[in-house]
Amino acid sequence: MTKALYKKHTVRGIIGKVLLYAFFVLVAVIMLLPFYWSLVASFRPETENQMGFSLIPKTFTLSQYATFFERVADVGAGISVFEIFGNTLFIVACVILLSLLTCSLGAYALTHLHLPGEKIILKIMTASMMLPGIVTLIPSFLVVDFLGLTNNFGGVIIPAAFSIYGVLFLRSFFKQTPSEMAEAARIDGAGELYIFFRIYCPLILPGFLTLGLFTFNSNYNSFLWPSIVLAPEQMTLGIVLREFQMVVSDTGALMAGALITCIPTFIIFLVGQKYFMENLAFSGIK
Amino acid sequence: MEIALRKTKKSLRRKQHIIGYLFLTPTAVLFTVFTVIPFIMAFYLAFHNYNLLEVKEFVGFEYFATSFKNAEFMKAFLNILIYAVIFVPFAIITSLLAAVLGNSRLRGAKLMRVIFYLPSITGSIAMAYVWRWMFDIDSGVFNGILTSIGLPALRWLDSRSYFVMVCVVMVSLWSGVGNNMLIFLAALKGVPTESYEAARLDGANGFQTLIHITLPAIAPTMYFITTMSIIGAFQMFDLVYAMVPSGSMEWARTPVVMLYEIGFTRFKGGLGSAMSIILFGVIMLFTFLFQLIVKEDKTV
Repeated sequence: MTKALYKKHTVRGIIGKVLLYAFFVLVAVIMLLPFYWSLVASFRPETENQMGFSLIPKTFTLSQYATFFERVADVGAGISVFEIFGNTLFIVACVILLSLLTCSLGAYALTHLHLPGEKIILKIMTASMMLPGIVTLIPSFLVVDFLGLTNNFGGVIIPAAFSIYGVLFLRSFFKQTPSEMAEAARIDGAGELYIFFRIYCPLILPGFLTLGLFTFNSNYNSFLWPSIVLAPEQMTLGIVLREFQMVVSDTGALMAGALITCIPTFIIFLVGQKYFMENLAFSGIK
Repeated sequence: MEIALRKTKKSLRRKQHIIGYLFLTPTAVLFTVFTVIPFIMAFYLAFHNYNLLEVKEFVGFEYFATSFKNAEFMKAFLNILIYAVIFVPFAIITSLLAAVLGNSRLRGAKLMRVIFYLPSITGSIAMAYVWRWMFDIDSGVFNGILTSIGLPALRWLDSRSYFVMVCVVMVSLWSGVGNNMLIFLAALKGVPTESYEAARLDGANGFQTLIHITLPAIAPTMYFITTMSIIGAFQMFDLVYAMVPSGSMEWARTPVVMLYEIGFTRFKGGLGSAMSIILFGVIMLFTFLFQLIVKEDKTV
């Protein structure tokens, strides 16, 4: 028994620890290598990029970034990186606002309003999350076209304005709030909307923040659907890289573009790290 | 007086229910319009000539017949099967390992969690181009390292063999481990500490604890993640589309890549729909098979 208590001071214990930390370092290197590498490539002139492999860059230049900003206009729509950023941020902001609204309303209703048929609704929702989405890709275009939403930011925003995952996710937050407050407020004559907005929503702000971050992530980088629905002038960040690499052959410029695309996500991640890591896993698996 | 109270309560309840359904309406309407209706329409479109501008004539089972007779499409299913078979086990193992390490009380565990998750937040297309360059035969990192220690350079993404799929799996694992890790982390938090205490008192080492305590405790989560991984793996698109050169496409073309090409580049919406339905059927089949295997294990 005493041997086990002092295990960490034995030679075997120390070797074990060293190996484990070496493993940590190895994993960290693998995980971060692409970031390091794209960083290096984006700050080297293209000639050096083509010249074969070297860990440390020999020349430092900002020309690749300049190339990226300049040549984006060639990518088929004549718009600048800033406009593309603007397009993307506009879409993402709308999606976040709308989906938080729809998801919270739905989650609240399913938690505190004791609706008849609640169980069936929840079952359908959970089941729908398991269905492969690919079947709906082409017909969705038909629907969006029918609604006149092609070549329109709405064609991307509105289909994304709801999220079954979001409803189930926020529901787990609402479940942690008591029903009695709603009962009491109702008897006092408060309207349901008031109860929802003024009483319960403030209570699940962490849930809102986390879902908002998650929604930001999934929509900011989205490529497939926007490329189908949007017009060239409405290009988003997800699409531009693909178009760029078909027009420009400078790897460094492409890496510069990829990194620029990632900057907002990095910033948001660093700021909202706690919410990402700790709360995101409370999905409706239970 | 009591009857009046009961009536008020009933109408309050009724009003509550109506408002509740109203609250659900935005989600319900959007879900119907953008998920349910397209799902049903897929079956309609698969039997009609749809060129993305208008739905034209009825073609019967022609598209299904064409799909099954198309060698490329059939090969795509073989390709995706190979991808799934390699990817899913590794995805589970790596994310579980990441979660166990990230959950431990070692120094740096918290940092490791962040490092594991970082690749997941960046766009897969952006990183796909970074990886494509890292795999580059002449100036890529991997060949650079190989040649500098005297090993021969590999062709990676251009290898014109199933090695391409191995490369795709690598990138997929890299960007996917973070998301699954989070789910496993939540599951690990739910394992009661008493179980670990009991194991330690019985003299179990770390590895034994993992096998006999941790794994059984998070079995439902593993089941969930495996199912979602299978479903996701069969729909692999963006990494292949962004990274694989045409020379190696024969071994990497997935059903969704083909479907995208047929539906949106060649404007054959009907054929694309038929193909997506076939893919859907295959995914459902494998999910069902997986469930059968798991159920059998449970009864044993």
